[in-house]
Amino acid sequence: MRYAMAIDTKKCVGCSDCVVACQTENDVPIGYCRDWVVEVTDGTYPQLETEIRSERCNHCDNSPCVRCCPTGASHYAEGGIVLVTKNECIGCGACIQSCPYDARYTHPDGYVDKCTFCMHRVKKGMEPACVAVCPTKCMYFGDLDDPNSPVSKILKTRKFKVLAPEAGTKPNVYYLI
Amino acid sequence: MIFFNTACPRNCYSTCSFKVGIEGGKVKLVEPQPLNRATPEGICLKGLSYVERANSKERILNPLIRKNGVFVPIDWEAALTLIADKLTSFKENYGSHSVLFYAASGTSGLLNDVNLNFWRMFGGTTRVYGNLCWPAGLEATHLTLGENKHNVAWDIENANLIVLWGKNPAETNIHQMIPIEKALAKGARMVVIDPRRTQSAEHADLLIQPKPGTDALLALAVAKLLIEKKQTDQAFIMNHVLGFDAFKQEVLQVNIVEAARVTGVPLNLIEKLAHLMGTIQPMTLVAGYGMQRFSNGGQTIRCLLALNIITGNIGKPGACWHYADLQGDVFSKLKEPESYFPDPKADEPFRRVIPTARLGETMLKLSNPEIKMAWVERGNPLAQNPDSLKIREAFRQLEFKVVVEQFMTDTALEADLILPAKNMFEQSDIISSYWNPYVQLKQKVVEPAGEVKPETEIYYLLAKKLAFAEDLIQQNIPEPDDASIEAWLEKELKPIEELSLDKLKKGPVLAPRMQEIAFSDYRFSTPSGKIELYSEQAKTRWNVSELPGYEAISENDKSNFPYQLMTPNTKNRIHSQFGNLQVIKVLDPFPYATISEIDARQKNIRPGNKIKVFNEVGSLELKAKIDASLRPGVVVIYNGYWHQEGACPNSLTKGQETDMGHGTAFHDTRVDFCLVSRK
Repeated sequence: MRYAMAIDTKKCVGCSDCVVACQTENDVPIGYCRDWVVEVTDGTYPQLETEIRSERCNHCDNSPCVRCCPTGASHYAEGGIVLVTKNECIGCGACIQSCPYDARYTHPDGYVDKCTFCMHRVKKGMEPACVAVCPTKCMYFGDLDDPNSPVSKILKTRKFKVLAPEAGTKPNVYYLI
Repeated sequence: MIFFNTACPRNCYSTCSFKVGIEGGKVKLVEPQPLNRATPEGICLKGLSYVERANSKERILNPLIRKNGVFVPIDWEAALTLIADKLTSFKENYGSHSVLFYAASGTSGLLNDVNLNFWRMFGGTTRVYGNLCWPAGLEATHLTLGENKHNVAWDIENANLIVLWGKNPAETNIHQMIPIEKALAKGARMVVIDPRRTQSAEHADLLIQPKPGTDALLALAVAKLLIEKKQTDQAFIMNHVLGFDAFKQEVLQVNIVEAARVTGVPLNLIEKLAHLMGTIQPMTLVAGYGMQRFSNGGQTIRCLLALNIITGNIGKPGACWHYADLQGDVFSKLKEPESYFPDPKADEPFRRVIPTARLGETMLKLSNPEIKMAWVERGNPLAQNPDSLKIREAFRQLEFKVVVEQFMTDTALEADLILPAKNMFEQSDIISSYWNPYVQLKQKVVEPAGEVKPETEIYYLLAKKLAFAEDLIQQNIPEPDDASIEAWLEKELKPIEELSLDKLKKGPVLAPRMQEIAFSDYRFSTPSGKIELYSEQAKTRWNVSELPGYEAISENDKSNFPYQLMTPNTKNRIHSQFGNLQVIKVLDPFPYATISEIDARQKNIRPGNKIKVFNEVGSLELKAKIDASLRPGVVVIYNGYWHQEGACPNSLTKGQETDMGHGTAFHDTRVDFCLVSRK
């Protein structure tokens, strides 16, 4: 099993519902977020293009954060989801430095926190909170090993990219372009 | 957790239905309500933030009185006695018009009418007329089509050409993006017209970025090309339109090359827009509210609407003038926009009315009687009305100010007495929308927090305190208990047989007798019974030309301030609401002004620098955000920032009315800016 997410940059309007839904679902402390919206504009006025996308931990197959964690707190869980075991984390911040996506933050309680693909919901057969709440339905989640999962199906029909491919992390969040 | 059906009562197009999860007497979760065909995907980020808003530690939960400059708690009995004493004394000494009653769009609902019942019993007050938002466009539509209605929200899916003119649904009406996406998937084309490259523009085939305030001329230029190329719908015009020939004569005078210069839109783009409109049917033209917040706003909207009319895009699936749909407003005794006009009957208790667009200046000048006391509810005029610092000055001269509020807004900060306001979960009420055609019940799902009392209860207790006649109180104000509130609402529903509280509790109900395709019967309640391109009422009521036309904003030419200030709405707030919440602050941590990359380079301003934006009205210091895609010559500051944050854009706007409808010409504002510091 390999959990993955695909986000349609052509449909996303940057409404930030995913950010607020995540904060409520996961009790993210005020001032921090596990997911965020990025708008990138390219070109010269008036010939430009803006890409809008919702970003989060990429749950990489080759995660620098897992590799550099001195205590093993950062680890791969079921389906390749990258998690942090709170009570094993010493808050050294090595993983924060190593992540090319800037997806991690130090929780005020001292441990490092980040997106879990809402594993607690996924286990119950639900979608991650961000995916469930998205009003434009621009996010797809599921098991890449299952050809019938929403994420497998959309990746078969659309062009996509990943972020920072040069980092060699083999991310599992795909951006439809 | 128990879930209840409810609906969002904010001043917003979407007016979402949603389900709210309650546990332990607290709001815990907000979930989509698929029964509303306009908003089945669920609520926006502000709706999701109700979990924080309802439980916020910053909420005002008991009456507060200002003592030596600080607010201290006061009990209800003492607060109400104080108000009653003040009201009695001001009325006796100066007359009831020495009291200003100010209410705005903070929360909608039928129970809001109770406030006017109370103040009428009191003997009247000074009131405001007009509106801060949309009335120039409402009146323009009303003059032309006789009524403000449009096809159901989901009908855009049937359009082959969608024109978003000055509207950015991606931020302000996200539920409109879903049928738009469906239309685009079926091959529809989309044009966005906006000085900004908005998130919605990313979905368009063509983006046109005119100089703000010149939209009318752009529309007239397109009309001329359509007429010259014979791409108008002659049969439609012959059967349904009054004044086409006169309009044609006027439009043929437009010099297209000059129009390109004035609007700043290259000729080839004007031709492209005309070509799309002339060759693709059906077209839905969605007009936003920004263009009509100019002193030429009403006439501008008439020019845009003319494009629908001459191409026959009214009354058919996918063919629509999409401005406001008031079909869900089945309770209004007065049809919009007349409700914003000053009351013509001078013997009414509210015979003294002052323009909301010029609130500060008018308050300062009023005499006989002077305003001594103000009562503000559902509004934050010290942040949201133009020239807001002048309003603050006027407020500070009053002897007594009562503000009913949930949070410590700029207006609440100036109060002598703050009364805690209910939130949307603490009292049932019935709401409608100006975009989707549903009547909805916003249910009471929790008891009021702390010592909060709904406004109806405040008025009830105050009426008793003032010893109004018992039978009058009974007729005019519901008793505070839930059963009486429900009975009151049931009584309001009674004339409409399709509606009942039981039915509304199950979910949203389509407004009875609404037209799914507006004007599909081709009946227009204008004086002539036709679509009036030529409107005598435009002349008699507003002293503008009988025909749609372009009038340059005089300020644009004579001002020493070279940049145009725009104050649009952001997805992060509804006007000045929500911005104080922590979940919103994560997304919008500090106020900023957006300037174009080209202008920034000229002034050597870099991202994140502190800049000063100023004009003859006032000045603001805030961070600069540099946007490569913004039209040069424009400064954008989202409206809704508070003075407390140091960045309320209404420090810069002038109190001025629109050409029709008693709207507010916020956008007739020119500014300049300069670098203050690198950080």
